[in-house]
Amino acid sequence: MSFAQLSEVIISTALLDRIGEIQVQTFKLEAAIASFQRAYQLGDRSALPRSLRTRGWSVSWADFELYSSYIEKSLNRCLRNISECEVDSSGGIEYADVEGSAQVVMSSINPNAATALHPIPPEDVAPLWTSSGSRRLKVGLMSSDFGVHPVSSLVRGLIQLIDASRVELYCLSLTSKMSWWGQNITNAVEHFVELTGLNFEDAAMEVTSLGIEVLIDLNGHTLHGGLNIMAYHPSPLQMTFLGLPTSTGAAFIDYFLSDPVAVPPEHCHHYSERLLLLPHCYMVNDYALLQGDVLKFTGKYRAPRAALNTSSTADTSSATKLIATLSNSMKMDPEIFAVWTNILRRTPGTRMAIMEYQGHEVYMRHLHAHSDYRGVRQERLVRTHQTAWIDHLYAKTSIDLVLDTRVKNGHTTGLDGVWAGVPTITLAGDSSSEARAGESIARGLGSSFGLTYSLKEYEDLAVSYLRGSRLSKRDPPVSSLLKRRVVVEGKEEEDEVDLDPLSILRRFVEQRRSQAPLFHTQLWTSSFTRYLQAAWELLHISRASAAAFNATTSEGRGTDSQKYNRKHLFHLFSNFMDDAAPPHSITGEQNPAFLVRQEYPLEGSLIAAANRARDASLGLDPLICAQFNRGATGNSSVKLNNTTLGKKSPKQRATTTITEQQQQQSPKGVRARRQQESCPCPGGLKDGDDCSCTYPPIPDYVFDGRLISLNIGE
Amino acid sequence: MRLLWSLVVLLCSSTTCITSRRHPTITKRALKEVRRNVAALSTHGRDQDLLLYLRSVEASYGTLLLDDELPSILLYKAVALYNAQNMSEAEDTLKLATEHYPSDSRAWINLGTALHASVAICRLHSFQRSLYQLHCWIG
Repeated sequence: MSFAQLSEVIISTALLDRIGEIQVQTFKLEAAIASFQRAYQLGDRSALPRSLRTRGWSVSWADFELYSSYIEKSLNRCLRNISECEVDSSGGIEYADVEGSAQVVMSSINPNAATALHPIPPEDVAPLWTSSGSRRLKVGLMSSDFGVHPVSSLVRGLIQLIDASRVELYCLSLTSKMSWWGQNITNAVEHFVELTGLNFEDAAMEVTSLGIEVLIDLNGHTLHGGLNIMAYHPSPLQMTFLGLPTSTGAAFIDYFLSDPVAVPPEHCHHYSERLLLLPHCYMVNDYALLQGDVLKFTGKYRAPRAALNTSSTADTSSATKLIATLSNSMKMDPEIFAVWTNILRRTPGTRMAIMEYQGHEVYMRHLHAHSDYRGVRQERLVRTHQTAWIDHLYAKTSIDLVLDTRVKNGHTTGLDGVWAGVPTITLAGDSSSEARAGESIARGLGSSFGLTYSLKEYEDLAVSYLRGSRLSKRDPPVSSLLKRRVVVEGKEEEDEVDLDPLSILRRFVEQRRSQAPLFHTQLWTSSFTRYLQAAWELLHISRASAAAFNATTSEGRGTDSQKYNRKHLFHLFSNFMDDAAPPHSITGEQNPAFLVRQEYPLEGSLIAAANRARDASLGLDPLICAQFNRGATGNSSVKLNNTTLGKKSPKQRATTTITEQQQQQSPKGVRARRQQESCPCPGGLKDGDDCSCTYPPIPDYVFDGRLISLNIGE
Repeated sequence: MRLLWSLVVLLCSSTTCITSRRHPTITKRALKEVRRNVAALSTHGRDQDLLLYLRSVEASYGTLLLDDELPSILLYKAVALYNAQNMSEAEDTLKLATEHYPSDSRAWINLGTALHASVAICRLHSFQRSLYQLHCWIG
């Protein structure tokens, strides 16, 4: 056999293999739906929400509304009575608009692990700063996605840039699959530990033996995540981040890491965890480090449409404008698809690129049927094959406008679009963090451009841009964008002036992407480190306070103290986009700047301490208690109280702060506030008891030159 | 005839009674022991130990189809395989479970979940393929 024949055989075998794989995927999606239907026929109603999720992947929207309303009802029932839950993390709860839905009990977690939870002795929570100097914080990132996965590609920069003098970083891998990432990134990590092949409890013991102080889960409720390990509470402080931006609903996770746009502080009642809100968009990335070359593909150097690797039947060259959605089928829903088809109908000549991910044979077939039904010819939906990773952002520069999905915004793909310089239109979601990622990215770019607040506005804005209508007042200032000098191959050139609004907006995005903190990995990593340190210090303070409290109160009260000990953690905030915030130095050390918001006893003293810390440093606004009151029955109710966000003048702020401080420092004020807020009672007390009468005496904190020390009063 | 029937009832209530239609050799006590161990290992999340234990059970009796009780032992095995990231074997075990216990709705749900997950994993393989093109491109 000649070499040419051999190559042909190899290629055709590979092709057949690929076709076979596509058929298998097609079959599997349909088989999964059939399996769920069979379970439902057998009387198991929990199959329905799961079926909805798989239907979402294959874009089977035939009875979508029926399914989602069923899930809404189930969720409401579940929130009323936890024992009636038919939905869990694997059901399509993201399709239901129910407040607090993210906190539905997650059945995938081994409930017995919680009973194995043992209290962590206070000495395990040693301070970072002592009179003899500072020490490194041991941080573990745990994931089953170290390897080839979007999460890994996002945290790559964090791993490489984290300050080793402050943090001792461990990557705890739940998979042993060898990959490019494993070969190239693992070496950059100080410690890389594989936890594969271990029982959950054994893996938890391994984590404990490593002495990891802050354990960060990067999976959430995604496939083969580590929540079952974290249920054993192997580390004193546990957080969840990035993998699935919704609450875990798990009591053993202390903090949910996000940013104040994706999770506005007043949404804290949607989360079972405390919030740790980073100052910038929570989606860390390393585009600037690894894909910096994309910055030069601007203006006439943008990729031609042919680079987008569309299917052979699609003709993009004749399209006047090429719009695209970069998200996968799972993130689409009938409402947003209806808007896209409206946009296509109102702008003849425009075509829309849809990315081909796994299962595309199924979902493209369904999308074509939906577009036919809505009066848009199939060929206007252009199938786009996956491009090699090295080229994919270059190829995406050929797109004129990205339209974001609604139920779940594009996350990594959202960043892809911005880094490729493409203007994006997104709908700011309400309660779900997944639906607010688009806004977080837009704000991270330092602009509200492309942000819409209704489907009508979304559609009209897209149509006005595509039709070339004049930019309105709400769009970014364009005068500075009409002329630009660029350096190409060492020579300075005048870039051509184009009055097309999309081109102007593209210039705006291109200008901002290299300036805004969104892609500033070093800045992000630095903030991240400071916030972890702050969280650890707060844990130390609360432990020290509880220990002192136990030592000074009668027997029985100590039990209560132990019970609320773990809960005695705080939301951590900073003013959004507070780039210039200097690290405050109470001690001469660079301590993390933070704000606290507290919900449990001892709060008055701690918030006073935090206020003093703030006065000594940043002058940030305090965020006053937004209570999440979870009763003993598992029912949840929400009481939003006075929330002050950074919208006051410095003078007003100073006045408010002093008044609040005075109120909070005064025992009477604290008691009165508690009564007003009907705060949750510590362990041993029932909801509805008069907490103000049964609270233990409140110790006070004073600064001792380090951070905060305890001074037991009375 | 009545005497014979009484004898059968008496035999069935003894510890040596053959309780399973599927497997003729396991005793009631042994079956109870297997079920208790399987449930304990599963509820404590000791999936690796559970798989080892089930391997020894299978070696002893030649099958895991020991009785008709639900959840079936096959389902325990499948869930442990799924947690241990052995997806293809988990999928096969679930298919077997739905075949032998067609009225077990949990088996059907888990089969659907495993099939769905395998599509998700293939998405990653596809991502990996695109990354490998980087290697070719480099060199």
